[in-house]
Amino acid sequence: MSAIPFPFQQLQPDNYLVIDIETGYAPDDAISGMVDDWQPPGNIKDPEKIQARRAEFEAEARVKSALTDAAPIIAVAIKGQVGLEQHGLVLHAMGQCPMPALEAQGVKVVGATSEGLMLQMLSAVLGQLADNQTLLAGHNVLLFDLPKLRNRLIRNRAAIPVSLQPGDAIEHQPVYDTMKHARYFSAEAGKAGNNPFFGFKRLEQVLGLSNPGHKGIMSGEDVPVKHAEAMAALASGDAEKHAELATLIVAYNFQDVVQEEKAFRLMTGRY
Amino acid sequence: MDQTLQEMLSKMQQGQNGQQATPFQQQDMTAAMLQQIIQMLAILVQAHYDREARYSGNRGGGSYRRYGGNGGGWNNNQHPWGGGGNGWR
Repeated sequence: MSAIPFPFQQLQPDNYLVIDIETGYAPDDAISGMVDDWQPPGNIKDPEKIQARRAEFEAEARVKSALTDAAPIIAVAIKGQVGLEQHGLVLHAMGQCPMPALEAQGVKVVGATSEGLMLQMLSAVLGQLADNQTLLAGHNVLLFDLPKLRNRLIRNRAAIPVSLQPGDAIEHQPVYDTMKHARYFSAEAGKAGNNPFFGFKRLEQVLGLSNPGHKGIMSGEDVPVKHAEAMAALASGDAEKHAELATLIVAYNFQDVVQEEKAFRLMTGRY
Repeated sequence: MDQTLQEMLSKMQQGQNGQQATPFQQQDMTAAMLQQIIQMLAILVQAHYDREARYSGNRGGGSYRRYGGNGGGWNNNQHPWGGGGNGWR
C-alpha cells in the first residue's frame, strides 16, 4: 500500500470568483413609473386608506428603486482564486478620482465615468478571468447580483461574458449562493419560516465572522444615499467630498466581497 | 475625514490583517493522534482492497477459494450471496 496523503488535499487548483455589486437609485422617471404602476391590495376598498397606502409606497419608492432593474450599478467588487486572491478588484462608475486610502491597503480600484464604461471593463475582466467552469460565489447572487449584472450589461449593450450567460446553450455555470445555503448552517434558521431571505449580517453572526462587521458601520441601504450625495458633490465641483464618499462606497463594496469570500470559504470547507 | 469612512477603513485594515476565525491547525494534532488516524485509514484501505479482490472475477478460484473450502473450482453453492442456480445472477 502506498502512502496515503494526509490531510486530503485538493488536487485541482481552486477556481472561483466572489462577486458583489452596489446599486444607486433608479432615475426619477423610473421611480414615478413605479408609483404610477402601483395597485392597492385587493382587500382595501376605502379610498382614504388607498390614498394612505399610495403615499406610503411613494415614500418608500425611492429606497426600493435601488433594487429594481432600472437602478444603475455603481460598483462591482470581485475577489477569488483566479488572480485576485490577495486584494481583489473594485470597478466603479463614480468617475476617476484618487483613492489613496484604499490603494495604501493594496485594493485595486478602477474608476469609470459611466456605468456603461464600467460594465465594458467588467466584461473584459470576466472574459479573461472566468470561464464556464469558474464557480461564481456571493450572497444572494442567484436572485440579485447576477441577474442584475446581466440586465445592466444588456441595457448598456456591453458583451455578456461566457461566465454570466445563463441557459442550456452552454454548460451550466457553477454558482454558490451563500444566502441559499445559509439555512443549512444554522439551527436558528427555521425561525424565519419559509422566508428565503437571510441577511448577510446574520450569516456573519451564524458563522462567527467578525461581529459587528462593517455592516455595523453602514448598510447596503445607505449606499444609494451616499452615492446620490457623491454625485451631487461632483456636480457642484466639490472634488474632495466626492472623493471621500466614493472611497466610502468602494471600501464598503470591497469589505462586502472580502466577508462574502470568507463566508463562502467557511461554508465549503476551504478554511 | 468623514467619520464613517474612517471607521470603514479601519474595519478593512482589521479584515486584511487578522483572520477573525481561527482555523484548525494541523500542528494542533499530536503525532500520536496522527498515527492513530493513519493506522485506521490503513485498515480501511486494506479492507477495501480485500473486498475488491474477493468480488472481482476469479470465478474459478483465486481469492474465492476462501469461501469454497473445496480447494478449487467454482461452486455456486458456496457463493457468498446465494447458492444454487446457474452461476451469476
